[in-house]
Amino acid sequence: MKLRGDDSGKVFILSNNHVLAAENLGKAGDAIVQPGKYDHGIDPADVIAELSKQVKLKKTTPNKIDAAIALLKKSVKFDARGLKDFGGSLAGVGSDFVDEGTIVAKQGRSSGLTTGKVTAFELDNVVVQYDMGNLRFDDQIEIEGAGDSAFSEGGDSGSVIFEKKSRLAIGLLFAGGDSGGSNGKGLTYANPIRTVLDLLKIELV
Amino acid sequence: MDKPNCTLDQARAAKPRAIAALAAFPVVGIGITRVGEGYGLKVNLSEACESVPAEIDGVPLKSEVVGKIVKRS
Repeated sequence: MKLRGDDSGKVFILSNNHVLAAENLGKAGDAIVQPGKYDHGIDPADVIAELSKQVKLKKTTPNKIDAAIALLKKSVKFDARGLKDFGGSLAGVGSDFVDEGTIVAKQGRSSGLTTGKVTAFELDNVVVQYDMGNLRFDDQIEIEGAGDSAFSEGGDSGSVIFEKKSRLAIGLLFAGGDSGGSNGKGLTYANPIRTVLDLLKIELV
Repeated sequence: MDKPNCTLDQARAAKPRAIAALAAFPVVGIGITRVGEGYGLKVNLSEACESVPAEIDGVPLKSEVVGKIVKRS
């Protein structure tokens, strides 16, 4: 990611507030390690970025996104659009409108590459459990896994979700549950990617 | 005779009314989904409950128990 209209060469990681900023606790400049601390990453050996900006999570009013960005160290090599196990690269950003039935995919830290289908959109009153309490989200996208698989598992937060055919980004994965969906493997929730890009004033590199 | 399919605009218009009408239910999300050849509302519930209406202002309503939703960290 880069800031809109910025040609300075600064590159940013996009993920969730709860991943990069620990639910509003992070401060600009905080070290970001890869692998994450849960995967035994340590500071300073594994520091790849520093927290730059977070959209604060709100307790009393609806949230639109759970997102933050971190400035990547210049020494870190990256492939901003690479889709790893899927192959090829992200083609860009998809439409505002993501219809039910859209076939999507994501590459996640826990469940790897999975495919799924949009089951609902423009979801309001999505109540998600965080360490800071139950938070409400409006205008979200819901996805179920294909076949007999869940679309996501714990640890997949921050994955970009893209339309399988076009490879256009449509969402930022942030939440899910273990019940529901036509295969009974649970449902996944994503912030619309255009809302994320607009609120953080960023664009794809 | 089958009811006519609802348009996307009709489903969007019914959503705030559904949110108000279902305030007493354990709702953890109300959104738009496909119903037949048209659109309707999907109501997510944290637990099973009876008497969830099947439509709101003529817009079909599909309910599903999705349990608790948690951050995926």
